[in-house]
Amino acid sequence: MSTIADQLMKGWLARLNADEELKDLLGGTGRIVVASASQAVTIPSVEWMLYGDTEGESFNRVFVRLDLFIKGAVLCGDVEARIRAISHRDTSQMIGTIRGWIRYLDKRDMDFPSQPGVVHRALDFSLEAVRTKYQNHTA
Amino acid sequence: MRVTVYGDHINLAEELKEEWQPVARQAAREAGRMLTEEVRRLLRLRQGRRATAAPEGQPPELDFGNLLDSVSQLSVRMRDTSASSGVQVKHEGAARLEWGKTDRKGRRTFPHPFLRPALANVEGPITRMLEQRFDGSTATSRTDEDVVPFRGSGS
Repeated sequence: MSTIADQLMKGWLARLNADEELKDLLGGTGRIVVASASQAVTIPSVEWMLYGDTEGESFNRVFVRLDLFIKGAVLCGDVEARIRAISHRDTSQMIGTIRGWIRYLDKRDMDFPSQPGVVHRALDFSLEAVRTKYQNHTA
Repeated sequence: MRVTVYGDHINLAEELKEEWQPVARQAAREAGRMLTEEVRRLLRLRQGRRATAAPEGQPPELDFGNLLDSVSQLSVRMRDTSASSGVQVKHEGAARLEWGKTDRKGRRTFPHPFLRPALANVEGPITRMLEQRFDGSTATSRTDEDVVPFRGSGS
């Protein structure tokens, strides 16, 4: 991952982890983790994963998938709404130390047959740093 | 996954439609070709072996080429003031690779998306290609955004 994408991701994760409402919904800290094949899914949790071209130019958009594993559709909806509320903006915003965009793109419900009642919802976001001062629009 | 070239919601006179349709058909075919080529490029990025796999979140490795062979361009579909083309993948494991999956025992297949990144990569070039093709033919003025009457959209 390039340095800029790295910093954007770090800034966004810091914001998600610091949000009190999201912390309450997820039942504590340490529930937002990087997706890893070597560890079992914990419920509730939010896993993140970068996808797409992460080796291109450092200013390129990076795509992030958040996988929500939440018991119950209502709680899952609340977590999703909170994440989207504190992330997506139509204008640029400060993400950690870098100005850029976080855009919500898409979501889908996935099967999670191993644990009935657990909702697995994937949310797609894109992160992009502002390239020039002319793109530096603020809300 | 389709790329659609669509006109604004206006009733084109028949003669204008006749003039627009061949241009739109060609543009949609070109956009579909660009998307298909990008999908194929991503699928060729990593040469693998049967025992290895691409990192999670990255396009899958090319092992036997079955997935790559199943990629084809959709023929152009004309519908009133829209023309669309795109890419289709017939391999049965394509959806599992694109989105990931969890089985009954809780074993997970992590996603290796190759369609959405391809669309993201060619979105800009396709939009520029469409602007160039239609600029001056039917547009009366142009700004940075929506004045060019025929635009491309990915879906």
